[in-house]
Amino acid sequence: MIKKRTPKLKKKIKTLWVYYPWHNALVHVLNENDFYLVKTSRNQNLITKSEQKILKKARIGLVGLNVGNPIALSLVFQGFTNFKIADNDILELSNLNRLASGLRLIDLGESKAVLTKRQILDINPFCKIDCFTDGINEKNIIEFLIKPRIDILVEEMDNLLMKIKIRELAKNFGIPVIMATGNGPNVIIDIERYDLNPNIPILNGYLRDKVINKIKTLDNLTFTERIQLAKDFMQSKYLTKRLKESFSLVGKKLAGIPQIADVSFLRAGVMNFFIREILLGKKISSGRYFLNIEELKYNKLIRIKKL
Amino acid sequence: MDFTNDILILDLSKTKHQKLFEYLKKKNIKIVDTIESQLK
Repeated sequence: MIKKRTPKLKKKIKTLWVYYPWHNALVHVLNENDFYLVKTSRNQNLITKSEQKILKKARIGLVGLNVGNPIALSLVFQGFTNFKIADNDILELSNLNRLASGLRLIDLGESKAVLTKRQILDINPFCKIDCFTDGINEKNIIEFLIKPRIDILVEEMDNLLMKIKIRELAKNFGIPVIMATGNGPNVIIDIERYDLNPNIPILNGYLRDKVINKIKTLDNLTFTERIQLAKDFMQSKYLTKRLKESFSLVGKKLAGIPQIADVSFLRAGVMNFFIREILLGKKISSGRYFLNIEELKYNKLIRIKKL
Repeated sequence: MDFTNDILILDLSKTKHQKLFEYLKKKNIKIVDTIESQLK
C-alpha cells in the first residue's frame, strides 16, 4: 500500500524557487535530485536507474534547431540534462508549419537557439545549456565540439559547407554523428560512429569526393547549383518522387525544400531512440537507415531498414 | 549572466537569496507553487 505523504514529510524536503524572466514568474520546485527522480519516474523500467544516470550525465551537441528543436525537447523529457545548442537563425512565420518553438506567434523574430534554451529550462530548470546564437562557424566550431567535449553530435544544419567541416572535425575527435533527413513522409537516418572507427569516410562514403569538393567551393556557385548540391547531398535515388520534383521548384514556386510537421516529430522520435541506444553502448553500427512510414499503408508495420 | 534568457535558482536557506526572493516578489510577478503537484 502506498503511504500518503504527510505535511510533516514535505517539510523535510528541500525546495527551491526558480525565477523565469521570460515568464516574469517565480516557480516553487523540488531540489535538483528529487526533481529529477520524480520527473523521470515514469521512464522506469523502460530505462533502468543505471541507464538513466548515464543519460543524465551525457552532453549532447545539437546544431540546426529546426528539427533540432523537437529533438532537444524530447531529449529533455527523456532525462538528458546537458546540452550545447547552435543556430544563427531567427524564428519566422514560415517555420510555424513544423517547429515546436513556433507554437507562439509572440516568439517570431526571436533567436531559435534562445527559444530552444528557454523551452528546455521550462521543462527542467536544472539543465545546463551552452547556447551558440551565432550558429556554428570557423571561430567557435572547436569550442562547440570539445570545450567541453560533447558525447554525440546531432547535425541538422542547412549550411552544406559546415556540415562537411563539422564531420571532418568530429571524425578527428572521435565523436559520433547522427543526422535525420525528411524524405517526404519518410525519414533517412545517417549514423557515423567515429567513436568506434575513426577511419570511416564522411557520411559513410555516400557523399562522393566530387560533391564534397564542390561544396567546399560553394561561394562561387549559383543558387540553382546550390540546390542541386543539396539534392546530391541527400542523393536522388533515395528520394520520394514528390520531394525529387520539389528541388527543381525551389526558388521559383517553392520558398524552400518542403518539410511537414509530422515528419519533424517522427525525426525527433527516431533520433531520440538512436541517441539513447548509442550512448548506452548498444550495438548501433555506422550506416544509412530508413524509416518508411508509407509502408504502414501497405503492411500495417513500420520497419527500420538498414541499407 | 544574460538577465533576459537565464533563470535564477534561489535557495531560501541562504540569506542573500532570501533578499532577492523578497525583492522579486514585490515586482508584481506571477508566483507558481508546484510543490503539491510534484509530490503527488
